[in-house]
Amino acid sequence: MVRIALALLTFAFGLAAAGAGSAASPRFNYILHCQGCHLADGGATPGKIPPLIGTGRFLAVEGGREFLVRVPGVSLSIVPDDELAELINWMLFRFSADDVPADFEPYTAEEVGRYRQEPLVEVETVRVGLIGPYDETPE
Amino acid sequence: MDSTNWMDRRFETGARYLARLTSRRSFLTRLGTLLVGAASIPLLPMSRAAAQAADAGFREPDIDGDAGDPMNCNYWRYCSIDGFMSPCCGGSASSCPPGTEMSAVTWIGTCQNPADGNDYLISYNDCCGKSPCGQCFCNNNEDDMPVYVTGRSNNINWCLAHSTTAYHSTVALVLGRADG
Amino acid sequence: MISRTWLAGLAIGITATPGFAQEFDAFGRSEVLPEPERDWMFVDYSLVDVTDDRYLGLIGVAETFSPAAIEFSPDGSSLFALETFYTRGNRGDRTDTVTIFDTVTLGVAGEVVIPAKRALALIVKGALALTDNGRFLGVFNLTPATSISVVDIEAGTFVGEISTPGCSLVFSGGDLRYLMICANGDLLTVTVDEVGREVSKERTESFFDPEIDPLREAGVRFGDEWLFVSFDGTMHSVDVAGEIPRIGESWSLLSEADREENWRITGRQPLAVHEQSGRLYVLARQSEEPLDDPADWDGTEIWAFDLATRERVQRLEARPELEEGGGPGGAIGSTSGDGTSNIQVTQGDEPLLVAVSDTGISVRHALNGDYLHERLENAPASGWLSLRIR
Repeated sequence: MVRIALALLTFAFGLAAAGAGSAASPRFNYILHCQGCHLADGGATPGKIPPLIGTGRFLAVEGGREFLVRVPGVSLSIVPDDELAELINWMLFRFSADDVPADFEPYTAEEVGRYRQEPLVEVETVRVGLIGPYDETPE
Repeated sequence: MDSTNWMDRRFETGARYLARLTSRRSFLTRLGTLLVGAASIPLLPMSRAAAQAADAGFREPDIDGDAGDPMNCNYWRYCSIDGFMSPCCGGSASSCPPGTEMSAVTWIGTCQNPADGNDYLISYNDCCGKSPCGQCFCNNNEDDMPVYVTGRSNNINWCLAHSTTAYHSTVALVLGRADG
Repeated sequence: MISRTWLAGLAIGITATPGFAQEFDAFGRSEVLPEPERDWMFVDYSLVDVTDDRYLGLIGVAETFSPAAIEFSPDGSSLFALETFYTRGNRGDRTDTVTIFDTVTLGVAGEVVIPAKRALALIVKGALALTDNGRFLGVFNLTPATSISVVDIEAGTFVGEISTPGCSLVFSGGDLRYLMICANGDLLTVTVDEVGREVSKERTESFFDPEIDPLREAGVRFGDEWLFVSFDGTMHSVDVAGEIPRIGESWSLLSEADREENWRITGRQPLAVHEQSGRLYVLARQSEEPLDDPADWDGTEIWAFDLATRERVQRLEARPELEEGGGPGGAIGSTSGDGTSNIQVTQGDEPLLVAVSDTGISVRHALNGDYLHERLENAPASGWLSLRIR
């Protein structure tokens, strides 16, 4: 619990610093680069677009952490590494806070920069292999 | 990191990214409103059609803080629209015509509002479920990318993810400020 | 007795032709097309003989948001088009098909139902592609997730869908291969097996940077090479002859002098290749400002390049100075209306350069630029130009 709070605090601090007129905030980047398909609430479009709700579950499985960066919407976006790391961290807490493990280490720019060099050419099969088929029921 | 460095980094990643920030076309029309009489603007050598479009220009804001006429293709929100303008089809810039449904999936860009000089996030949702409106086709392309950059292309029928993919018209929703 | 008819004829000044015998018609005859000629061209789905200025027929494809995109079987006897239907016209459940048309009767010969996901977007090149062995038709899907639906046209069956995350459009890339363009400028090569199932998907290093100078989707094939032009007038090529597709050296269509005069490569259908002479025709216009979407701006000149030397060998005005005919309409896809939006070149010894302008369609002898027709009277006013014989 304390660790989650600490992570959130560090994270929120990062957000506040970002909001002070420098790099684009995660919320802004989400709207401009993700919301068009993933919607304001991170919900699925059944049969077409997977949900962001529940993405925290990937953090609990081997290979899940890289997966969240290697999906094409993330790896091929024009958001620079540091903002992208912030964006993924923000997104996890925004849409899947309950699933984020207690010992979650926020993504760093270096890590994101590394994973995004290998965009996935196969997403569905890999996803199912990691956490099974996704539940398309809107929450 | 201060904003100057951020701008520099953006410039390094390409002229097109910088273009997003400086909003070329709206700069031209903004210049027009500063001079006396639209006809006296020394227009750059572009086509006659574009010159006419630029001349049509901005009228005095008739909605507080929301400059321009939503029935005019030069309305500030339409800086990257591609389709039939909803206000001409029975809707408004923010709502779909009767009997059509707004697509949830869409693409989002930014436009500058000359009334306050701020950039805003604009969501170009399509109105779906009927045959094309056919009135007031408007195509501006700030920040528009080819179809393979799918999240930033206005050449896509964004009704494609909706329950009915028949395209009727397009709105331009203001989602918020685009200053980060 | 003087017949009433004869008297009536007299009253309105008709005189009978001696010896004339009116023939009578049998009901029910429909024309069929003869052996196609090199000067036949599709304007969207209308087939036109551009030399004789004769309308030959229409492929009855259901009208949709997407422009005309057609492919031919290797022996030319069939033509494939994509159709989208709703159970209640413009609403209801959706069905997509690859519809097969007979090229002699222009009638429907069959259809293959495919997943109702084909891309509803303003693309022609990249919407569908036949593998070079002529057997597997790939259809580009956009939901907005991207994939290819593979149809075995010999068997007339849907084989399967290949997911292609982050990559779009489908171009022929070899006997059992497709090329796609990814959102970051990478090329994706999708290989299928002898029955059309996915074998592999390989990405290359980026061959252009979409943030700096995006590639236009409307590529053209020249032998074993795909040629694409960028927003800034740079030609990029991909050679599909070998074991793996090879990205060629890029080169600019614009010289220093051209850039100083603000020339840009524009037009909805900006490129056309005449294989025999190795000439590339392009559309160009001047604009001091960079153009947000060059497709919306007509070319005011047509330039020809020798692809071997990359020298410009010809400059032509983009359209005859006819009286205004229409101007830019209110339809989706309309352009600036002050030049030519689409060009195409027929193949063979006497190529014809066909150009769409808002005044109509003109036809010129491609090699010397002389007009054959300043305006076709019997063709649709505009549309995507596709060759009947490649």
